[in-house]
Amino acid sequence: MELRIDANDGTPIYLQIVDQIKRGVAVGRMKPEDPLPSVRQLALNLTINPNTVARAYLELEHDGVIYKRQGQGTFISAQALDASKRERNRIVGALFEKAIVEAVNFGMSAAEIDETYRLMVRRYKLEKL
Amino acid sequence: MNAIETHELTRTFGKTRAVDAVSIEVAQGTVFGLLGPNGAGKSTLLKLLIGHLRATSGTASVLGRRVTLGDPELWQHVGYVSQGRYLPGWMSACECLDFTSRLKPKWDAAKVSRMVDRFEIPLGARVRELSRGHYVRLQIVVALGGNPELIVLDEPTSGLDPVGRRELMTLLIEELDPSAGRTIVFSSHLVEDIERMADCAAFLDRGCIVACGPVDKLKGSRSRVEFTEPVAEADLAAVPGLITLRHAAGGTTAVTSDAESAVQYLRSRGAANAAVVSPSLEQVFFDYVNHGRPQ
Repeated sequence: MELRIDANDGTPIYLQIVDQIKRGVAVGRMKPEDPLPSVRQLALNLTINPNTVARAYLELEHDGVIYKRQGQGTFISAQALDASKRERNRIVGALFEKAIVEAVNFGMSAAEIDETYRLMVRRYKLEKL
Repeated sequence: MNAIETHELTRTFGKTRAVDAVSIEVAQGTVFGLLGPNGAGKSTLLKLLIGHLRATSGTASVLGRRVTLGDPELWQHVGYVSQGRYLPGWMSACECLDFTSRLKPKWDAAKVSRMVDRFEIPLGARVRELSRGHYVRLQIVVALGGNPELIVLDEPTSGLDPVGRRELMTLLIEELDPSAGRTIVFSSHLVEDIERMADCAAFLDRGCIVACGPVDKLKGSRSRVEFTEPVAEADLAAVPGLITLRHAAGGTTAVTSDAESAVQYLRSRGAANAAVVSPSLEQVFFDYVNHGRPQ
């Protein structure tokens, strides 16, 4: 999976890496036991300080998304999907919050917001998922 | 252990305080970025660190040695890339490398030869005839050839095209061997360079350090809270951690050091849509440098 970082983004670079790997697992682009590049290799690929990559890996390891195997490298862990689902819920929750703030901004009532949500569910036939 | 420690380091030129009571610490094995507008004193500070300029007052210790003017002992362990042209123009690139190799006990001829090939440096050309791009690359080979413990680069990416910048940064990443404990200090007016490369950074403005710390913490130290609903003037003045307010057609932005409290406060004062916008390092930098300055 190719990672992209944006130095002009407000999010710290190490968090951009963490988020993208979690997202990659959540959408199924990365699976348990998939290998990750070495810290040095990823630093060179992205042209960033290796300490930043090391920090991202440490955070991912702490969150149970990846694990190190002695002398073999770093891999996606078996329980990565659980950790990534929590992440997914957080990301989607934040997007909902943004939408609701905007709706309130436009002066919509709770009933109108609710109606818009139901409309979306029908339009994308979400009840069948 | 710190590779660099300065205490109230000051250098004046006539009445101008080019570097004004700068106290910084740079841990060994890390990358330290110095960010500031033109004329902020970045080059002067770097020259003070390596003993190219005498301090007016204050002290600097580098690699455990008290810095004195032109210390040859320190120079053996430092690689320096200057902004101006200081390599002797009448020498050929080859003579220049040969000359430098005698000053540096840890000169690595094989590595130098690899870098010369990679950068396609015309060895026979006189230094003064080299293009900006080739001159910068030659300086980098001169600086890194001696496997220095400390690499000091003054605006290394200025004058390089995007490909050259990327190439230089890749080279620096390769040089950053954690086991070697090599320290890199560089200045730039390009925030992106600092963001990509630096562990810690300092903002320099008119000779003074206005902010210093890990890059992520610096970004968090100035947050923007945006909202569109009107809030009473009197309430606005009391936003927690308020640094400055900006009014624009689309709404108001409060720059604050305490984003969470500011959002709660503003929401309780009628701005239901108050929300934090994560600033880029560039915005943080401008918030620091422009605040309090006459517009």
